[in-house]
Amino acid sequence: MPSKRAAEDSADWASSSKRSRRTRDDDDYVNVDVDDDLHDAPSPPDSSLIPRGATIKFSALTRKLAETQIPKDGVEDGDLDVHHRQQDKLVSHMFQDQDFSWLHLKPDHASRPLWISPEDGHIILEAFSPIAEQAQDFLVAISEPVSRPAFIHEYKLTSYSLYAAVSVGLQTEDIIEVLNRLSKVPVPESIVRFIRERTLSYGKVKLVLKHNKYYVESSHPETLQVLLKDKVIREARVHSQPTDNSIKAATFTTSKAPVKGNLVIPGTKETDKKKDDAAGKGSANASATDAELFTSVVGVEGDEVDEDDDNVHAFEIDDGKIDDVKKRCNELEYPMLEEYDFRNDTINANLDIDLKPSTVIRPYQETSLSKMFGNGRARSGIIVLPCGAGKTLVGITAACTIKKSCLVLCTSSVSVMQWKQQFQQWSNVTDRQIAVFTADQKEKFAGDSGIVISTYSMVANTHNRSHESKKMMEFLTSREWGFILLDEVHVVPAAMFRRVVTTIKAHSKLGLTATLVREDDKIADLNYMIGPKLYEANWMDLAAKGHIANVQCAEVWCPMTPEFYREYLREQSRKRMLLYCMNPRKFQACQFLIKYHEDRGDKIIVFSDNVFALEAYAKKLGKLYIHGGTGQVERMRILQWFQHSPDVNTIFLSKVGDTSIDLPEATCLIQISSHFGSRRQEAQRLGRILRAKRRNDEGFNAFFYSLVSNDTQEMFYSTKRQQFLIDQGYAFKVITHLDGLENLPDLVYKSRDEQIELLSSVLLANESEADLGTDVRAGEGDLAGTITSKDFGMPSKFPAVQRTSGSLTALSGAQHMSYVEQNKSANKKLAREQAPRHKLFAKRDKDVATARKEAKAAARS
Amino acid sequence: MPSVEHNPDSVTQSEWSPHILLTFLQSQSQNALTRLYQRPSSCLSIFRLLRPLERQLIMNILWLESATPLSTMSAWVTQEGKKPYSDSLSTLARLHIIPNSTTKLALNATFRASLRQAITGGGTTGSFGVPAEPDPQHSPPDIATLDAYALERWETILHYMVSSGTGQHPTKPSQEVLFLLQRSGLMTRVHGGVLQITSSGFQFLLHDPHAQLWELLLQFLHMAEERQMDLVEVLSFLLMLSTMELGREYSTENLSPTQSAMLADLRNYGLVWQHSTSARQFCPSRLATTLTSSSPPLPTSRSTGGGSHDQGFIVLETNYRLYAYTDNPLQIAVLNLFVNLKSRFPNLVVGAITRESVKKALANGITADQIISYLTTHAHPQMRKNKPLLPVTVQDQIRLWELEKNRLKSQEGYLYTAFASQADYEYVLNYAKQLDVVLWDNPTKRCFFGSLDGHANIRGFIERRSAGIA
Amino acid sequence: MKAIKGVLLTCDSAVKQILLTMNEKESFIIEDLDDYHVVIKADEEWRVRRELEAELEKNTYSLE
Repeated sequence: MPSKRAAEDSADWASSSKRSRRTRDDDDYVNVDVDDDLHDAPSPPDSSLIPRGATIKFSALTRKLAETQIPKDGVEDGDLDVHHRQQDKLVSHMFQDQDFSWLHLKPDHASRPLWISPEDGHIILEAFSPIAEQAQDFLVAISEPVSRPAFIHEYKLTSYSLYAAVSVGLQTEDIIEVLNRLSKVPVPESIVRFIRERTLSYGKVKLVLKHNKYYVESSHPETLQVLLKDKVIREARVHSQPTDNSIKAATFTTSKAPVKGNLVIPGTKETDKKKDDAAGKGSANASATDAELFTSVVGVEGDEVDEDDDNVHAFEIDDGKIDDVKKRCNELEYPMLEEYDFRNDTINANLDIDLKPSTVIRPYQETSLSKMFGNGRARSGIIVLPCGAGKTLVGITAACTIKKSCLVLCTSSVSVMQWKQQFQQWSNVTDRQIAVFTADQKEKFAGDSGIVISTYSMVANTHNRSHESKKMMEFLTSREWGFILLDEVHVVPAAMFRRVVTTIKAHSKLGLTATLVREDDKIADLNYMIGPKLYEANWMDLAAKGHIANVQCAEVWCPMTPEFYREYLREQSRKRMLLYCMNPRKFQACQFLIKYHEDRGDKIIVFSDNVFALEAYAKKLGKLYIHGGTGQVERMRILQWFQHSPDVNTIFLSKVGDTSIDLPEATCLIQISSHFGSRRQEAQRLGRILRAKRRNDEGFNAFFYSLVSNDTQEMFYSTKRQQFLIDQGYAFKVITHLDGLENLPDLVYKSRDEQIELLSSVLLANESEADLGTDVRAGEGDLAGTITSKDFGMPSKFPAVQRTSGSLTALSGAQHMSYVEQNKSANKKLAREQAPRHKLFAKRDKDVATARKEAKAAARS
Repeated sequence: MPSVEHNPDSVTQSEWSPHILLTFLQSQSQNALTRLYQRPSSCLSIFRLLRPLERQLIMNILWLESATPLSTMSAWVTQEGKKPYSDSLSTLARLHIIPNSTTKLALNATFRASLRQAITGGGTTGSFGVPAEPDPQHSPPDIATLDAYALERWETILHYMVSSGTGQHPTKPSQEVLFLLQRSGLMTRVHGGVLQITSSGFQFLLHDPHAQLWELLLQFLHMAEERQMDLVEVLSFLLMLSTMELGREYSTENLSPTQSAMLADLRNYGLVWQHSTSARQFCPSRLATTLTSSSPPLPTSRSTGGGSHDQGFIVLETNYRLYAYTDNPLQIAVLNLFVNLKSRFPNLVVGAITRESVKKALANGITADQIISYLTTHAHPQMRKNKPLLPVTVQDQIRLWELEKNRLKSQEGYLYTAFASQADYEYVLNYAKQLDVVLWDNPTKRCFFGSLDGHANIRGFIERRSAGIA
Repeated sequence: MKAIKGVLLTCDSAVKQILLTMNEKESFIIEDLDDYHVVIKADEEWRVRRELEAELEKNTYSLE
């Protein structure tokens, strides 16, 4: 019964839906039931089978009743009804088991905004309804958003989403009640049952960290008994004192349950509001309007869990097995909530930090935080906000609310620096209170409490630790953390997470991400390792309110030249991909778009996962580029130039630029090659321009282009990649022809000869050049795939690119000397010039220089 | 964003093509038209079908006793108005309402007299129908009943069409209706004599009910001609119906034999209600009384749930999802022609426009433009906030899917090659070009491709020439 | 002079390339005229269309 349930929520519908499946041919349906009855009647011993039949009969009956209750409006003549019923039968088959026309509409359905499917818990919401906003708040708390374009949104109730709903403090009956108020049709029985089933056991068990030991806690001792029957959990239990092992006699530690209080999240207007609140409350209670019900249930203000003021019971478990226990509890349908009553934690020292008075957080950031701190404690979970929507500030505000020691983990060492800088920018944290732990720097904070910022790899890596690192790790693992902040949770491999979660003891965890895409299969892992998704923002909504940039998305079709296509069709190896990346018409489109947007004053990033293509394009078009082989100094210099120089308006980035790079100057993005059908990468790339500095300029639009070679596999991947964004409400315009491209002066690869020459260079390249992301290798302390990785690692095949262009010269004879000449890397030219520096990096450079000097000195001695 | 081709909403109201009945009337003889114009109801109905400018021209001169010099009228016309003005005049001339003249404008005397009479009333021709004496045994049906009746008849026809070939067994319309559908090319008999919808039938289903009704009636008129019925009688009966009052009973006594015979057909289409086939009274339904008006010909849908025939009910999103506020099985069946339907609630249908669903529609002969125009016409009021109405990306994609279908064009014929000399080649090619049968030619390759039809002639030409040389 | 019966196919250059590739496996082209035109055996048209369709279908992604 348990196990698979939580992991596969589409499957669990099957069990309840099969029973309630109905077809439009109701008459036959009832007959079947009668047959069942007759069949069952003579054989009483089989009575155990009856429940199934009974269920069917019940639903058929409800259905019958529903039908007869359909009011006959106006038309006295029954002929039309008969006629319509006949016609209904003709179309009903089109929907198979998805015809729910038998549900009957409430008389005032027009003023209610949603429908619920009895089969799979799909919810369809009219986003134009006057109460849509409240409904969305509610739905995002109890269900997964499926699609949120302009007018009609879809959500889906799942086990996870209900788990999340319970953990932010919603009660089973409230969920059903509000859903029923919002729904045009009565909430189907199957859905009510599902909600009850899924929320029944949720929220009963908590994982608590006390005195550096983990306890499974519940106010229902019988629940703990149930859990202890499980082998995994039983074996993880730590017996503090030698008592007998029998479950019956299990003695739990018993203590008083924590009590609620008035918590104020810093940076919100709440501070002022709270004062007036007391006065207003009395009269408001008298008239319980719908709006109030939403707020009380959706809970932006003061939703407090009705905690029995009873004793709570607990047993201790082994730190090392914490992860297994959590997973097991999820499987047993008793997911453990992790809540941290930080205000009553007197053991761990407080960290005296606050947001600066000038820091104001945005409404959606506040909403997401209210989900976390709704009951006055810190719930563990994940907050999903689009790139550029200020995830960092949400994390910092959370840290300033909890005010206990905090560990921040991010994906790369440059991210570490960015987080530190942001902490200093938004909060009043002092230098003594904040420390970083990277391959270069191993700092500890002074005093009893503080903030440490590090990378996942630094903490999870177990071998080859330097002495210093070891000591640092001891520092991290020996203490109890109030709060652990996990940045970009979607990119972290499960095993690494596991290690982090088991070695670091933290009272509460917050995961941050922009894209929780289903293709990842990460949701299950994240759910038990961190917690439920507490909040997911609506992209279109944020764009409409100016929090993220408006983006025009386009897919530009580039027909293959006959020569390239000829080879493409005959090529079976991975080089097919190189052929569609290097399509001369794509070069031309890229050149045209760069020119067009540079002329408009845009700053452009061109993305290519394929390093061969990246270099070829950048060199041909005379632009700067960064990939895994670009040295640290050069890389930083190029980024500085792009950010501050009016002469550098376009840079080419490989996959290393997908995450963790903050370039708010960029306003236009062009993709020339990408990672197959990855919807997440597409979303991440779009994220690169969502925080565009100029986003609030009147009528400002950022641009996102995907260049796609026609009639190749790229078309397939391109459509697939867009799906996530399309469901967020983005629209990809197909551009089949770029006006004026033919007349572009200096259009590259214009003649057939040049095209053929390009083709021969592609054909001569190694098959391995077609690989994606070859330049990316994780360095010490960094996760692979981040531009800001301190050490990209030099791919061993990197020099091959140079060799290829060399051999082409030899091959094609002297007349092509000019080709090589003009394709000289713009990067090289730049190397001689001094780049403007951001002050953030100045200190870093100095540190690096000092470190080098010291190293040299050490070597000499 | 550079180079985004503009594609304005495909349904352009400015191109107001003449009503199809008028096109039909223009093909009739002056004699027949003059006979038709003898009835005030016919003149009023035709007047209602004309475009605004044409109506204005008629009203300007309707009450004048003498002809107006052409120059006087054209003095009123602005520079931009010249083209619509001359178009209107030629339409009216073809209808013999204002006979062609280079100097004067005057209404056809019969038309003028009848229209005057229609407007002022009076006369005893009974051309607007003669109300029946109340029948104590049969009280006339109320409007709701009439509407239900008309809707049922009409939807039965359309549903029969849309369900053909799907393995469903819809109610069959009468034999006469089936015959009409077949004659009009909307359906055809396939092997086994089963009626199957044709590609023009599919296109027909996407038209609005008013247009559909007239398409069928026009077919009926063509058949009337073949059956040697008096066309003027038939026409004037239809036009009379369109001026009648909904919910009132009329007497059959003033009808000509031809018109009485028509009643059976009109019952089949749902235009006319009679309590029995031999009844001496008849009631026109809303289908009939709105024939020449802009009111919707069908009553609104059965539920209160917003879905109705005259109001937009479709929401199309940028993610290709389609939500249709309807409980009407016919509308659902029509949507199913090009939408991948997924689920259905009492007043909502959910589906998506997919490549497969559009390809299926294209294969049935429905065009991208027709799909887009249907979606535009029936767009939900919420969508009206959008400009353009439908998401451009979805419109584009539907058109791109259509283009995909046409990537390969094939033409059968002959490749003429291996000519002995350039002169020979050019000689034959010239001949073929005169015949207009050359599909492709290339002088350097010294060959050309000619269509199948031209082959006999070209072979003859070459043979004659070879014979001549020999 | 010769007159050869066949079907003239008019297409874009990508389709033309696909046709040429198909022809290598199983010959059906009578004469390759230019980038956009080719003459094929009349009785092969149906097969060619079907295979072409299958080839182009490989590059389309459909939901679900």
